[in-house]
Amino acid sequence: MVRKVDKDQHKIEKLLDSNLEDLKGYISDLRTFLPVPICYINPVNIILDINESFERLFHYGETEIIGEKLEKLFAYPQEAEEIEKEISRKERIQNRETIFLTKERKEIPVSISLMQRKDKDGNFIGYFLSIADLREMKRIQNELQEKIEEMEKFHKLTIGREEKILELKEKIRRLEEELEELKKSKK
Amino acid sequence: MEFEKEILQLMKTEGKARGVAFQTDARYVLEKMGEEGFSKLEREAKKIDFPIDYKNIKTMSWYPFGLRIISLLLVKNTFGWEDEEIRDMGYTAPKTSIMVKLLMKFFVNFDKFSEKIPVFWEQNYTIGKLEVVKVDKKDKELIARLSDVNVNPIFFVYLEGYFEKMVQFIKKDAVCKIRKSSKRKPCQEMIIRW
Repeated sequence: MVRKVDKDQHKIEKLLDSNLEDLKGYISDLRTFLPVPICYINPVNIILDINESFERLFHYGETEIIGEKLEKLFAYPQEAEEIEKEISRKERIQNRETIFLTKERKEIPVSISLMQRKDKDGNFIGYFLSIADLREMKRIQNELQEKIEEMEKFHKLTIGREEKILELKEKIRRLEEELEELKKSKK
Repeated sequence: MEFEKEILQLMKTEGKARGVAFQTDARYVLEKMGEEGFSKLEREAKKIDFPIDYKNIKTMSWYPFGLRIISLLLVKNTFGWEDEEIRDMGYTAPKTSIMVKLLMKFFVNFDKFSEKIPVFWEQNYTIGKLEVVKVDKKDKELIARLSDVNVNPIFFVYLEGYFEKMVQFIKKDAVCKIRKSSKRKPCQEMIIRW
């Protein structure tokens, strides 16, 4: 009887280990695949996990950034403090624009979204942070802005020229009238 | 010859350790010594009487506790590392350990963390007992006692780094020291200050 219980226990343990191994594999694949940079932060604002997209965007390896304060990523630490306070009160923060720093301290405009994580009793145990790289969008935005400015200049220039032509036409008309009157008076 | 004798002795140690510990050792060597260094470790690991196949270790499976110590000794001997590097290997492990990620819900605040210190141990080892014996918030000190683990001191050097990083997930500037104690029976005392 005891041997049977031991055998069952061993079987259950093996099954649990195998399930955990599968789960670990799934998390690892997801971490590799996800194209959006994400990280996980605890309530004292220390980074506990990142995915591969995060590593690619900021050039930090896991061992370099895990265990560091979140504010290390912010170009303006004051903003980090505000966000940290806000996420401890709010379940979600969506699309907040800010500037993050790479390992080489290069600025990257980003849009961040955050979501609280809670334990089974509803206690705040940390938060996810996802990052959208806005560099391409900002580049297109700047290009568009430049084009708009060029067009405005062109518009002003052409409108100005038209007004000048009308002015000249009016001047010619007046001169022709004067000439006509002069001719008449000479006769 | 000495090492071979020690291996035989270590393999007689009771208890088991999770596979994740071997994986974090391998990862540290790979990061620090590159592919070539890791291949060297793999070659050395295959030479011993109880070979360690780092690439096929299963994260959550249980392996003989003695083999976990052998892995540390193997790394130390292969690269001629000092305690400082072994401590750093322990310090780096929690950053990549899947076990730590599974237990993230305990890295919420210092109270929760200190309450769960024995759980961190139980999740990784079936040998010994780790219990918190003192928490002094005023003097910023925590003492935990590790009993019934009598192995090569290299393991405690590794643990010192490992727990220091774990506490730093809550208290950024915390430090950890492990010292031998024999108050009642021989054990190791882990002193964490922040």
